[in-house]
Amino acid sequence: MSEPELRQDDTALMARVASGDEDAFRMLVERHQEAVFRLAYRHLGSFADAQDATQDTFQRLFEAAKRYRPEAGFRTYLFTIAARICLKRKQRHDHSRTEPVAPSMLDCQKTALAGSGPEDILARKERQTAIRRALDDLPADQRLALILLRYEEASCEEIARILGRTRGAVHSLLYRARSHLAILLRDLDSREVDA
Amino acid sequence: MSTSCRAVQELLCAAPPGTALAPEAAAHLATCPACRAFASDDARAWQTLEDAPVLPPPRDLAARITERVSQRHARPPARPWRALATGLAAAAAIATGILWGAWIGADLAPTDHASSVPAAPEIAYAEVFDATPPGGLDAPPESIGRLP
Repeated sequence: MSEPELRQDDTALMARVASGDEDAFRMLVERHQEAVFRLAYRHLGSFADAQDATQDTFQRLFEAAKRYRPEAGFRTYLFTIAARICLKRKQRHDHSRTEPVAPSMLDCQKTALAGSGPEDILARKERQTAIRRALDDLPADQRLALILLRYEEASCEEIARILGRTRGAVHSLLYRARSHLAILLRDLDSREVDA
Repeated sequence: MSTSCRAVQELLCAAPPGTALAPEAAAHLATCPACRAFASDDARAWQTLEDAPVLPPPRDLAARITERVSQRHARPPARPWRALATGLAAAAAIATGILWGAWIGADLAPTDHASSVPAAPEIAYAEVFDATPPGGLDAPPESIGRLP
């Protein structure tokens, strides 16, 4: 299904959700839960928090269905809700740090790591943890803007809508995020080269 | 860093590496070593982020979400007997209140008790400000009077 068809379809589903159609809501959840969960997990760095944020996002979506106007794309609307929930959650639990890379995560990557020795797996785990620490080191709004650009392939206009900022402010956020991250990750690469 | 360097670097950061820049920005990048170094570091970091950890959502997440939403927004089942019982209880409470109020009101209502109230006793007074205090040996008997 092409992007405009998908968007139109999402809009039609939202209209059905507004009239209380739970099947339409289920279809929207099944279609978008992975993207919302990924965004939340990358931003919050915790599996449990990402689950809660995803549930809260769809709960809000359901409640807001009657007020939904398809001016922006559905995905932008959904990510706007998710971003607000993630930012609020991060603000509330600012003391909590990113959890270490779970063994289950490495289980998920077994296919990719097939044939690798324990040292390779350990090295990969350490690298992933270091990357996530670097992401976690960014202020919440910079991190969210970067995640949207890097992983969700959102445009600057879309990020501006999602974060409720101007386009210029998003340019500035991304500049600060990427310059900071370039330094942090250059250190990581140089440590790996030394090792 | 000159202003134009910052402007070019912001443009570089607004899109994935390799995205075409505006002609002026591309011309600046071609001749500015600082901006080229920035672009190179940025592209490396962008690539490194490919390895950032990610997990798929739990398999039952969608089911949990829809269940939670349908539970929270489910309409309460219709129970006509409960509404009827509530209405009857309310009516009984109101009726009891009215009757109780009427009974108390009747008890407190003013009635004609004038005939049964004893007359106020006549109070004797003394001309205490007389030059001669009452009870004095020379008090005249007429100074003891009665209130009108």
